[in-house]
Amino acid sequence: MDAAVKPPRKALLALLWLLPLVFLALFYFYPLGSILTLSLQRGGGLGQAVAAVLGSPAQRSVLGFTFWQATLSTLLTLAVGLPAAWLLARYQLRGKSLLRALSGIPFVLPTLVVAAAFDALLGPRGWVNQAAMSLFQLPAPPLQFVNTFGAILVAHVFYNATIVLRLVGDFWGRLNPRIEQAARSLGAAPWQVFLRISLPLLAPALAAAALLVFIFNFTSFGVVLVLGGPRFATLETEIYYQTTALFNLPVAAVLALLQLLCTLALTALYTRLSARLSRPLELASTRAAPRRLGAGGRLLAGLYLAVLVAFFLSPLLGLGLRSISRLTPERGQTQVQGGGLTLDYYRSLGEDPRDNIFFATPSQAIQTSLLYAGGTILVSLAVGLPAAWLLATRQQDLGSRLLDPLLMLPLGTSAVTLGLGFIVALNRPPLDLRTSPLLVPLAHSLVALPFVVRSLTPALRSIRPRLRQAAAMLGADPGQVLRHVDLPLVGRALLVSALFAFAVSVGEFGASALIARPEYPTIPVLIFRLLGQPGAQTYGQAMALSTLLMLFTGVGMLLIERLRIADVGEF
Amino acid sequence: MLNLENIHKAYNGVPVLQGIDLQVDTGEVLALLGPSGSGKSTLLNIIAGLETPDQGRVLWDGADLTEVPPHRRGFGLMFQDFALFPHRNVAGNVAFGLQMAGWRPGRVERRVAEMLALVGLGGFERREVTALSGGEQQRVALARALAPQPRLLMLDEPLGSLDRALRARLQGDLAAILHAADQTSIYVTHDQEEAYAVADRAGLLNAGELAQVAAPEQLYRQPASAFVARFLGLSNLLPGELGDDAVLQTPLGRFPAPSGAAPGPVMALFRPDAFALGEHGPAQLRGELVGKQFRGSQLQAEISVGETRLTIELPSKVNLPPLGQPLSLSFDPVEAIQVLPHD
Repeated sequence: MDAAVKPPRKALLALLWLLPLVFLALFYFYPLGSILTLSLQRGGGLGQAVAAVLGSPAQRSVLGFTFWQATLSTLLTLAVGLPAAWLLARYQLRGKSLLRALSGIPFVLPTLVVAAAFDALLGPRGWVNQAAMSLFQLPAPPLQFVNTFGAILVAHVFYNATIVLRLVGDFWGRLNPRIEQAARSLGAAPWQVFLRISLPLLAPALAAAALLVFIFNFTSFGVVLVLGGPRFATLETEIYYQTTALFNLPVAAVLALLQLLCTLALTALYTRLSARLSRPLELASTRAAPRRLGAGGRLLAGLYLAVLVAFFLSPLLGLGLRSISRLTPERGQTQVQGGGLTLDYYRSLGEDPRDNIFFATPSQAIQTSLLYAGGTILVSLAVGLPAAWLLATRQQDLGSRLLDPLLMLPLGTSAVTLGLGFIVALNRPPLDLRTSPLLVPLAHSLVALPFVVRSLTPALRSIRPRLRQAAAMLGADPGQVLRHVDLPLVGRALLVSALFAFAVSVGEFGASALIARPEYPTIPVLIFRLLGQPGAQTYGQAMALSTLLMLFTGVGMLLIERLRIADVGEF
Repeated sequence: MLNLENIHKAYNGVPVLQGIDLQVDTGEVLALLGPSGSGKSTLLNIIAGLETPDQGRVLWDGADLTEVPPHRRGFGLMFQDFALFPHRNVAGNVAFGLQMAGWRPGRVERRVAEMLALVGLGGFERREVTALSGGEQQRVALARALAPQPRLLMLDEPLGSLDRALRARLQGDLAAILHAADQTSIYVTHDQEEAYAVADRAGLLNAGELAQVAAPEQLYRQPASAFVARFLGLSNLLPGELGDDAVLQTPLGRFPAPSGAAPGPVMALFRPDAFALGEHGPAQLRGELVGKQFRGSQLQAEISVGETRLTIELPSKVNLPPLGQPLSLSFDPVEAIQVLPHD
């Protein structure tokens, strides 16, 4: 043992263990347990409760549609992403890293931003319809996109293509190309090589990516709610609908349970698959030299990649531009406005468009969201730091091995389910937090915790005791060691964690939609409300607010990316 | 002047240090030699204050430091893996101790430049330590440890993580730097040649006890025990019996014993460099050549005499018979044989 850094006393250690465990117990297991009790309330076992809900054809079709849309979205995502994964892995192309970076942007954006972005591009007041209407003098928008199944599918592909691109692409890139060349030399045609060699070798990566995409689609909430509209219901939106519109908590609880069982099973499957991925069979020791395409191939590939880049960029650009261009008023509205650029929608963020007492102004929502984000940073760091420290320094302890998977659980639980759990569990003694301003930050902290712990643990682990000893030998007292060695080394990771917590909190929609109090909506909740209102003014406000949210998360993620690249490693 | 008094340390009941007494004089470079697991690093950590002894005292100029925390001892320690601060550049690393001592920035800057020049890294101030080669990192670590002018500098296998060629080059530099600064130092290594190159005196640790502390030449000429002899590569050790008549009985025959040894079972060390070919010395042996190795100016020959094997060193101009041929060796027993306590 080194005397320079005294081991903490037993009591202190116990306290450190207790903090994350109590947090999870109170705000994860207790709410989920309450959902379980509630769904079993009507007597009979778990199976009976599920059977009762599934006995209703309406609920059966909800479950069916959830699987159907997730399957279809996944297949489409693979169809769009696989050629790109192949091109990125095997060929030397200009704009490769640009595509890779661009494809990652949607993934980190809040669902409401993505929904608003597609609305800005393809909605009735979107660029495409506006252009078509003015070009061909049409009386109504020709393209029906919002409130269609297609909108759900397109948005899901937009969201998840990067998973296929990165997961499969990276694996493909590390596959030894000599294997494929050997197959060619043995007389196989290119398509035979793909079917018989590449595809089987890629299978684990492909399956993992598909499963991950499927999980995200299965639990997708904001996209289905906003872009799908009332005609389409998945488990997630149905839980929300049963809770907020019908106040039928028992049914919502059974649905949440069903949802939980499905996601847990899928996540367990994914974990097993990705464990197999980390034991690659035939990988090249170094990245194979990328090949060049012929002229025709280059043209095709260039076209395809250009379309992809446009696909990733246009909704986001459309959103930003929509928020600063004047909308032509609808028929029936007397006020005549010209087109052109304007900052009116940003200026009007302080105005309540509806004069409704329960309807906060956008600037109030921004304040609320920033306050909640601050609370989330504090709570998730207060819980995550001790947890990460324990994971980093007491790797061998039984507690660490238990804590690690426990901390990841919220990641595999849908936000709507968490929100429902909060409503069911935390609205009565012993824990009545209904009116507590901490309710939303607590839910957000739960979602942020896995990210916080995952970025803090390696940084804490990288501080070797030797560095502290070296500082002490150079005359640094324990306080100076903390200030000059520990903090600078963990500082970055702390910042990254705080940024993660911030980005998660400002963008979170599923839980917030259920538990945010009506008079204190968060930014995504207000965007949802604004998008549901008629009028050019509210629409413009929704666009401005979404653009701001996109910038908040975008800047946060950019900072995270920059800080993480320069992370301190062992040398 | 550093004094260690009867230092004991055990981990989980397993003794690691068992009664170490040691003195290091001001300005002296003492090498601490020993096989891995002999307790070298533990002893160093105790002197540094990073660990506390179970028993015994650490004194500097007579003042007891045993309870003083590491940062108040005024000692420096250069770690085997250098432990450079990855978030500080070269200058930031070297300046750290000076800043802790409250030096003014201008003075710190001058001292850093001076130290970097001393270790041959002038102008490296702004470099990131993570981008340096192993040898450069070693020099930064040395500069960092030397900069605050520690009363005692400890170096824990400072060349251990470097490759062989670099090591040979740096050990000369290191010795020159330590002696030029008159730096009181303890230099831990498991490599005897490194110890010879750097140290005024060398102490050999064996299983938690100091087997011998002496100047390198003396250590080599007069090893105190069979362990010391073996560690230094002196392998011709044969069990013997010293009679009351001052005659040493060995598997190679009976020889007159050196004076001063007590009768009883002993180990007889035959020095490898005390033999010559031929039959004109005071004592002779007949054996068979079973191996030879050319070593530049020397020739190392393996000779079997009956059941016994001897390794001897001859000038390389000597003409050896082909392998498997008999040969005669002559030597002066008084010069060639040392009597060591039986182990």
